[in-house]
Amino acid sequence: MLEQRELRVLIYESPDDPYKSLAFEEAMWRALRSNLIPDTLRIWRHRNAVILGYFQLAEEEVNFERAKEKGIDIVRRFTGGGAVYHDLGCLVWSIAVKGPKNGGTKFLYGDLLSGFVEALRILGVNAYIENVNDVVIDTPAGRRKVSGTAATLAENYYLLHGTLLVETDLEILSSVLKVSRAKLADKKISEVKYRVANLNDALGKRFHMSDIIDAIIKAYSKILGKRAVIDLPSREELNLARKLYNAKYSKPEWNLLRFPSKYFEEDINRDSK
Amino acid sequence: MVEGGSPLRIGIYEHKAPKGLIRVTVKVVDGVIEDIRIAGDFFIYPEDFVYELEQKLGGLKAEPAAIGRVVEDLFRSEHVESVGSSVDDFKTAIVSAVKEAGEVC
Repeated sequence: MLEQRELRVLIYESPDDPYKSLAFEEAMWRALRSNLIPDTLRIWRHRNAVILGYFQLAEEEVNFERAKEKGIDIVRRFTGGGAVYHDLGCLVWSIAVKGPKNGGTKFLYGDLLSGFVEALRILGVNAYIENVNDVVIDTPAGRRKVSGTAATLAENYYLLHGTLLVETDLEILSSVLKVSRAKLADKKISEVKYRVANLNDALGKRFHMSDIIDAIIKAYSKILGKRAVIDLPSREELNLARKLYNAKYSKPEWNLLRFPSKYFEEDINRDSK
Repeated sequence: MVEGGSPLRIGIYEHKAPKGLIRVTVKVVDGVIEDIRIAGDFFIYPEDFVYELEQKLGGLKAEPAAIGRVVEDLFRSEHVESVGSSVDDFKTAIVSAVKEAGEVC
């Protein structure tokens, strides 16, 4: 295992199987809490997927006809928040760390999220945190949202993951996700709504994935004060991911029916293959 | 309840918290909550508080004061930390859904 003064970097994805990559995400989180892995930054993507928040109803968020037509998989994640659409033009990043005791959501959406904002600044982009967990950037057309995040915490362990729209098909994004909040648009809403945009379109400049990844690694390495070390998934993570996939992430009860996590726990533990 | 009316009533209510939408669907049978779902895109920690709350509300009289007490007690005992929503947002969403079902004592 790496030392605690190192930041482990995993560039690990299964773009054609979002069920598998979300199972791995939970495996990574569990491995961190069991002290099987050090602080880890993961970079990943999906070819074509809608990722639902833990508490969301699939039928309220997804246009199923459109999803079927476009071959879009619908997968639930274990963190709260809203649905997102991922394609290969959307970079997904996760940072899982052992942090301060009683850091709470302030540490998640303050300290940890500031690392991602720092990454955009390294790229020369003026970025800010808005509405607790959105990341917006200055563009010639005004402020645009390029990233949404979600997070979880348990004791002094923290996980924050988010998207970065680089060159996503926004037409598919807006047609596969239902805007359930539109009907509330004329009511009093304290949250400012920003239009979403791709980083590349918004700034009229092409950012390469490699430069973006580099900036994210540099930023988290800097704010955590740790040296970045490239690594592969551990045996424990892969085993756990397989169990989570078999018992939970491959099941409609999880992805579509919003069953609580504890419903799957027995099957995950029973699977000793 | 109206005589001859159905003993089963369903209420749905969407409440917009400062951040996040709380969508409650409740099934009320003879003035008692039979089933309730608290869905949406909010953030709350620990997450499974939501499912525990659903379970605690099941079987409860569809009455605002009783509902409010259950929500508040569980918020306190589970040391719930929410981001962009409060215990009052959850109370409002749940009580409003029950009122929509039209079975408030």
